[in-house]
Amino acid sequence: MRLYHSQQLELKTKPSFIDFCLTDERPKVLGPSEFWLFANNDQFHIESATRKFTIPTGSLGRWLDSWTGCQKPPTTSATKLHRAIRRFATTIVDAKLVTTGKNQALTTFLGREETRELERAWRSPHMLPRVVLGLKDFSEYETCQLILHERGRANAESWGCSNHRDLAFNKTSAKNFTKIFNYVRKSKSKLFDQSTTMLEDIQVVGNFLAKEFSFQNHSALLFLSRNGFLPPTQDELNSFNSLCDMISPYLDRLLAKERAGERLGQLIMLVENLPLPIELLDPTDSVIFSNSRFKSTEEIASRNQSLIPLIAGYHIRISEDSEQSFDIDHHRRVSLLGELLNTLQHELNNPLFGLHLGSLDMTSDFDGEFAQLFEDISKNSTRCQTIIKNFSNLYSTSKAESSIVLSDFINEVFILTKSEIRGIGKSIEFKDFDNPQVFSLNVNAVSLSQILFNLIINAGQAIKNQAGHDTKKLREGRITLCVINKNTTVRFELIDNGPGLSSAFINNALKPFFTTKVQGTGLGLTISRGLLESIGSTLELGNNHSGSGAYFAFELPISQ
Amino acid sequence: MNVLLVEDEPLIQKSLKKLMEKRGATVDAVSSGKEAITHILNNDYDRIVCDLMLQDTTGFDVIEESKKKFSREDIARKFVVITAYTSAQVHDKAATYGCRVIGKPFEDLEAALKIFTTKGE
Repeated sequence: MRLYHSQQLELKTKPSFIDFCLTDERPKVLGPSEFWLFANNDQFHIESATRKFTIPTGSLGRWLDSWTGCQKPPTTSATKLHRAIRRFATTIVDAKLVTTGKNQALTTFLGREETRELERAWRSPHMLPRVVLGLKDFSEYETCQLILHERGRANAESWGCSNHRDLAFNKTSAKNFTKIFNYVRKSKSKLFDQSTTMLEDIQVVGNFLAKEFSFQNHSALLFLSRNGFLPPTQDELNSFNSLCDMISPYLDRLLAKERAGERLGQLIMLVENLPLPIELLDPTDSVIFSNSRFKSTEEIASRNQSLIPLIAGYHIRISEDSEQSFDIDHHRRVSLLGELLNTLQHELNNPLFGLHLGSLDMTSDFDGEFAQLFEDISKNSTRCQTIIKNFSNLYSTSKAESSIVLSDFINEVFILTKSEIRGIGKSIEFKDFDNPQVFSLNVNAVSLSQILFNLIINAGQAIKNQAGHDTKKLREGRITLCVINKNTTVRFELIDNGPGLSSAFINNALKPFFTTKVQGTGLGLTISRGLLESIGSTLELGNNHSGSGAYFAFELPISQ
Repeated sequence: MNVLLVEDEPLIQKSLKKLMEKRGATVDAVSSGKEAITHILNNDYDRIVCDLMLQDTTGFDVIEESKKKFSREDIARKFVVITAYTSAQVHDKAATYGCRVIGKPFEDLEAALKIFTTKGE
């Protein structure tokens, strides 16, 4: 994007995509994405190759921001869609509005050359004033103005041309527009002059001709003047009226086209960003558009496709893959679980806190064994609170990082899993740490504890299942957590000597609700993976190269 | 030192009452907003420790009712709100009365008890 401006702009942040050019005059030709800015009182007038508008000085930053948003380079398929729909729109609009009879009349009226010229020059509604003044029959006129209002908009827009120079672009309220419109419509003589005070928005001078147009979505007013003070003759009036009749369908078509163009841009953005994989097919079933979600969805085979027919043989194909709905179910369950745990936490908090306070009170009333007993009750009620809080945190999306002393932290996690891995040997090994007792790490502690918690419990359950009721075998079970300092990262490896992982498990382990346990939810590893991804890591898993059992590993960055 | 404790969880109420009494305070304990208001209007308290979520009403309603007797300064000085729901809204609302908010469970029990059993300034 390039901005031409006569002064250095004062902006808090200067977006990198903008190229500022200092110039005193508006460049004659503005390319696409080039804008000419000039400040006037509290406003910026902005012109591009195709439009002009004003914004308050304070809103410049916001405008620039919005510009980046919508100028995201369209994908090639978006361009294709753009073209296809434009072709549609044009065909429909053409067929509906332009009848050959009118064309013929125009040719008769203006002559073949002039008609062709008009069609060539007149590509956009707001070019009409210039085009009219350029016509041979109207070359004696000096000023022409067009005011357009789209139904439902707060403002009407005005374009004018005087002595072959474009007049400044203007805006007026819809209320004013309606007032003038009705005045013109109701006038019997159809003779106007600038002495009519209510017509302040009209830029023509002296006596002038005026005509109102009413279209499906727009109203328009056209003014034409010689800038003189002699009232127009009946002949002039007649030829102006004929002209208006002739150009009316053209104007309507152009307005409809422009409106379609605006809608089109919005539509494309909507379809592109829709969180559903969508393809648009033309009558020969070749794809002319697929949105970004479509491209990012990988497995095509598992999709349930549905076709929605459009007009003229075009189709929209929506692909709902089974994974997708699975994902929605997953989210629903997880959020339900989160809600449940939150309620549970709040409901249990009060009685547990009472228990804690009560037993603490008793501790000081008793001595020896009883005091110890009450202290245990107090400690354990606090622990219950912590556990339920940790569980509800599991479903919270808090991204807060904190500094933890790694060895203390890991010990705490093992304490949390005590009941699940009772009877199984466990060890924690620190490798390549100068002093593991004081090594601290910046990390989302809630996430890390849940990941380790899940992995340790999985390993414990695998070993327990393999051992069955054989307590000797259970005692041979071993869970080792290796924490390795790799300078920039810390690697966590959880190794067990259980049954190991089947290949089906390795392929499916991270999918939600995949479980090998009778009472499993199938969420543990999915959540662990999600949590790891949220802190910028990934989960590795496989079987141990030496001996039996499985390993799960991940690395976390050490921030400097 | 006269303290009114408004708390509807019986175990917390009893324990807190005893713990405060051990620190030398005279404590009246009630479990509903209605009782609390009657007590506030009929007695003189140096401190009013009030739970937010009561069975019949909220702690803020109790504060609102006590305006009949207390000035703004009195309210800010006397009231301590205790609650399990320490959301921003609760803190904002409490700030309009100028009184303290302590989340349940108390992070530091001793500090909380000290606040409950000393006169506000």
